Amino acid sequence: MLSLLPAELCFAVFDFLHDADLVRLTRVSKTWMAYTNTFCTSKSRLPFCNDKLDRWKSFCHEAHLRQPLNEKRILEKASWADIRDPQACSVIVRRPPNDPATTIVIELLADRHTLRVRWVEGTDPECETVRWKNISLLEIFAADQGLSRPCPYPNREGKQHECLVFHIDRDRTYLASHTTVVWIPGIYGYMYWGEPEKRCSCVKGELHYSGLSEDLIFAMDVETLELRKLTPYRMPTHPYYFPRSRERFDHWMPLDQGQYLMTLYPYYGRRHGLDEQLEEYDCGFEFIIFNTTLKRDEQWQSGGLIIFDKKEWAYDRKDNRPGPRVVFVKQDHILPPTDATDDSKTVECVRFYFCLFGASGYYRSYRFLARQASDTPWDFGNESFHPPVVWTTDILLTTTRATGLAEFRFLPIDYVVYPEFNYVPSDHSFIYRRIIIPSRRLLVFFESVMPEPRHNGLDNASSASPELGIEHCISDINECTSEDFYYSRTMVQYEISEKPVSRRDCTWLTGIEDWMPDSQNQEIESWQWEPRELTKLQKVVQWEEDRHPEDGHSDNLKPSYLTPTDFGGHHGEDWVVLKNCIVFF
Amino acid sequence: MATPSTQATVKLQSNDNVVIEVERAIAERSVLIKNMLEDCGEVTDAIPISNVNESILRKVIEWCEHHKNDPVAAENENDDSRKKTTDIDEWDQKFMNVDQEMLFEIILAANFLDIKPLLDTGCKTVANMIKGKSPEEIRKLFNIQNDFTPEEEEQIRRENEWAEDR
Repeated sequence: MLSLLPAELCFAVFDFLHDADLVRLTRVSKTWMAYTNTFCTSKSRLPFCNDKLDRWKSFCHEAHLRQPLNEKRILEKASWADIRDPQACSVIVRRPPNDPATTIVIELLADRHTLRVRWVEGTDPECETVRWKNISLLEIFAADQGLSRPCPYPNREGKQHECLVFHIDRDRTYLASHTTVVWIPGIYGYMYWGEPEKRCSCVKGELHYSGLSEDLIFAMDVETLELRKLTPYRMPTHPYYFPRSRERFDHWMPLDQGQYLMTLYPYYGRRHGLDEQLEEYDCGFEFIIFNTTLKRDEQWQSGGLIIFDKKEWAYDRKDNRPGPRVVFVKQDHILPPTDATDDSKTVECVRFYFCLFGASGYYRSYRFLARQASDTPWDFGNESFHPPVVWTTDILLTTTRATGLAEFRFLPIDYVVYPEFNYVPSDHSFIYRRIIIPSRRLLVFFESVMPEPRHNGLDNASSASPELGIEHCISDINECTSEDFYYSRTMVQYEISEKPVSRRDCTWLTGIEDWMPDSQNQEIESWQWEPRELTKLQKVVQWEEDRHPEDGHSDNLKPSYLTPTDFGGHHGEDWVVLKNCIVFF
Repeated sequence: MATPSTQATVKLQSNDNVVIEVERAIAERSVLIKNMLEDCGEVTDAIPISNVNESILRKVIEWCEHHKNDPVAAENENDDSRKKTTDIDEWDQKFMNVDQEMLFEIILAANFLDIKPLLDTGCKTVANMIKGKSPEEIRKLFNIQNDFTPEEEEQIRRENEWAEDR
């Protein structure tokens, strides 16, 4: 073929091939490898890749991420799957990569506070259980929160629930080669004894009501089968440390095959010394890396700080607002563990993509006004969508083989700015948002659940969820309320084009001037950003679907042009799983 | 500039000097011929299609005849939707069911004559032949010599692991 067709026609053929096929072509012959490599690593195909890194590896990793993850593939590859077990509230199936004959089933039992981990022979989770372990989340939670015993709590209608209930966050529960991390999100409405500032250390004192607990994170070593509760903390000794808001959810990403977990927070610190009068703040990101393989009393963390001028965050903090929240989009393992110049060290590099939600979003002007008028309520549930900025940072991990000590180096942060799109939020009280970049396509997907008054009790709300096909959504919230819900799903998909975006299009950047006080406009001029490597996203499709449990299906509202095939799935599927995200149709 | 012509047929001459007379509308599926006719007005002589032999030219004309009523794609159409699918309609599949040499000749001719839909169909056909096949199967398919040493092959396999399931 290559001897008969000129390069441009070979590339025309390659255009119709999936990435996995292209990767295979490199193994055919040297000429084919050269052609395929040239085609795959062209700038237009890897807009996120900079020249410092191996473009071919980046392409391969992107290709891996782009693979469609339909249900069949999940089952075959044992990434995770749902088992329709009426006895279990939430079930996750994992198979250790080093032991393909065994399947690990992690399930939350019907009492909603017992986590059972089962090991079964073979790939069928229904097979005979080899061994199992029950973990009382309630006990762990009580010990962590300073409760001496399971404590009833009042729900919104003033009734007493028998017990606290938990659920597994499947989006953040994952399997890496070292560890399976099970994520139990924080729960609402519990009582605790002690001082509000020291709730984890006291078992005596006044009884307090808490809005939302910390998340519980368990790391299970898939080889030793040890289960550890992770207790991440920030740097309390930092001189300019601002306590992290409890209203903000942590978002962690695995690093180095699950041995480490990484999170990052927006950082706020005073710029010069301890002068209380000084209003200047340094802003940036604070990275925290957590070793999941050590026992609790041996746990350690590593961290780093990247400072840059992004001052509106500081204003949030100054007024004691939680500020923006960091959400990881994905990670690329761009440099595999390789031997360094000497044999004593292993070096690898991971690139993280992340976005910010919150203060810098659509509602920033509203929130600015809210700060000016102190009687205006602030409600983070009503924050709108984030500005379409995707940040990237590379982390270099060096492990000394003899000691096993790891050293992290944070490379300069970079970002890509996309044109703003307008999403006007309604009165949604819960908004579930996911942003993914499965390839060069940025897909924005969010669900919202709006409570409506009802009096039918909890059970009806639970039974309605399978019909709607969004169990993971309802399971997040209906445990501790007795309301009916109104669902809204919105999906926005952007396609990347080659044309750069002008600064005028970046309303997030230029819009800052609109809401800052006039007196500070001069200062703003000095730290306006000059976006680099801007890439334009063309809006392909936006649709919104509203449905109510009592309205039945409203499939006719779906535009016909949005199908699972658009996301790498197959015709006829109801949903497609992408990286950390389920897309429903 | 030439005046618009009402000519009903045009003659096309293959590189082996065979002249084929075709309806102008059919010939104009080729953007190259269409532009030539628009520029030159009435053409009584045979238009030399220097890169295409008789059998391929007849094959291309057969495709153009079948697709003469298809809507012509917009000039600047370069959207990704064109490339998203490798579905080929049944007639085209049969049409492309030829030996490899002829398939590549058709692709070359479609490229030379600037017939984008035919070029796409040809490329999709080749892509469908490659899809899902192992390197060894592709070598067999296109009769390619494996010029990698075992060490090189192992190294490439390791590099490609990044795209495989992990």
